[in-house]
Amino acid sequence: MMTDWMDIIFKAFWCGCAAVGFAILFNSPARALFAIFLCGSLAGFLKFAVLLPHVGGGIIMASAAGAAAVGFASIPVSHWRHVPPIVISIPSVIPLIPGSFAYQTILGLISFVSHNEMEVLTKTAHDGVMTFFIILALSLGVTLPMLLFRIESVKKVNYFVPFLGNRKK
Amino acid sequence: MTGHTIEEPARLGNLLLQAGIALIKSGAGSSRVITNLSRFANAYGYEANVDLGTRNISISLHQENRGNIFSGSKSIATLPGANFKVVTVISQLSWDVVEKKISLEESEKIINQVFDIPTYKRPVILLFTGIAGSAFCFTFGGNPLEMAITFLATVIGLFFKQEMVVKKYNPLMITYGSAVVAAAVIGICWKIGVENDLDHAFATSILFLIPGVLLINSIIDLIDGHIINGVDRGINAMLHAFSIAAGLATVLYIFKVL
Repeated sequence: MMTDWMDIIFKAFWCGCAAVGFAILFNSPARALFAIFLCGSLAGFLKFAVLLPHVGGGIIMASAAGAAAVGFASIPVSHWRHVPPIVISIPSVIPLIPGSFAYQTILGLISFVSHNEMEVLTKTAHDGVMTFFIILALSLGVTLPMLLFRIESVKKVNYFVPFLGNRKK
Repeated sequence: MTGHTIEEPARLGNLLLQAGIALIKSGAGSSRVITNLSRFANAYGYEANVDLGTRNISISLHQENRGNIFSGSKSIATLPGANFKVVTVISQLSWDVVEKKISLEESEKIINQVFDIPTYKRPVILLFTGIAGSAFCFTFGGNPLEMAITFLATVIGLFFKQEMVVKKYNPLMITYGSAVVAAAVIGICWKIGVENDLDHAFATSILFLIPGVLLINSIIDLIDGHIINGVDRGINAMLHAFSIAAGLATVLYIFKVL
């Protein structure tokens, strides 16, 4: 039990490191890097916590939870660091991108050329669908605050009086 | 005339075109580009109608009672990459224009300098992307030795990619070539017997090439209703994913793993 949580914290830490790596690759402003590390760790922590057997969420639920947390966190964080929210949220969810599913999908397609069996095709289709739905969950999670608050800019969002700041006059 | 000089619409129009192209080049989603440009135009008292592709932008400026007073378009040859410093600078500028009433001259100065914004130093990018690669390897269940090999492969692959970018190869060729180089490093480590089981390293060494910004922007565009741009970005991302897999498959075939 305890070792599970230690493992998750380690994985969250490394997710944060991966997020910072991609932030630097995307040339994010230096003042946002620590915030990106925190958000990336948060995403990793939620993903691997939801994946725990006794929590029992699948990989799609886990990715959606991580990405939604980043989406909501990116609003106050972008006020704090004075950057647009996508600068925080995109690098933070990159560690959740289903690289291994995408990799196995294409390898499956390639091996289907020489092994034309039902199992190969079924497994490839499964991997492909998983890739698509995880990416869908990630993007939905990141844009969820925008969709919920019906806003064009996060400057108008205030979590303490939700839905009041944006009434049409 | 209401206090405007004759040239103002043309200057504002060109400023908006430059800002829009800079945003497209830097990996901003379609609705973000349109929001930023409209905010600019509104601050100066105009209405901007923006038609947006993934490599081109057309803007018409309108003002009350005066109809269409500026039309222009601009396009870029290459497909966009990602540069979040540019996105940040332009977003901040559009707010400064609204809140602090910055003059057109100052805005022009900032927009013209936007591509001189320095990137991180090359060793820094290589180091941190390498760390990101080994971090991926850890979250996929790799051991410390695999993490070290993945670090090496990512650094060499990214170095090769940067060299190819400077020489202006086709982006898909760049992705394919870098995937081959990165995977070949793992393959060589495997052949000389550093470690017997390098599955995690093979799968994670090429992850720095994954077009994450494109994939996420693609779905965000689809959700926002920019269907054609979303499909465009999605297909582009899929082609990159296919290039990565083709590069990996080449190496796996050469080393007889597949």
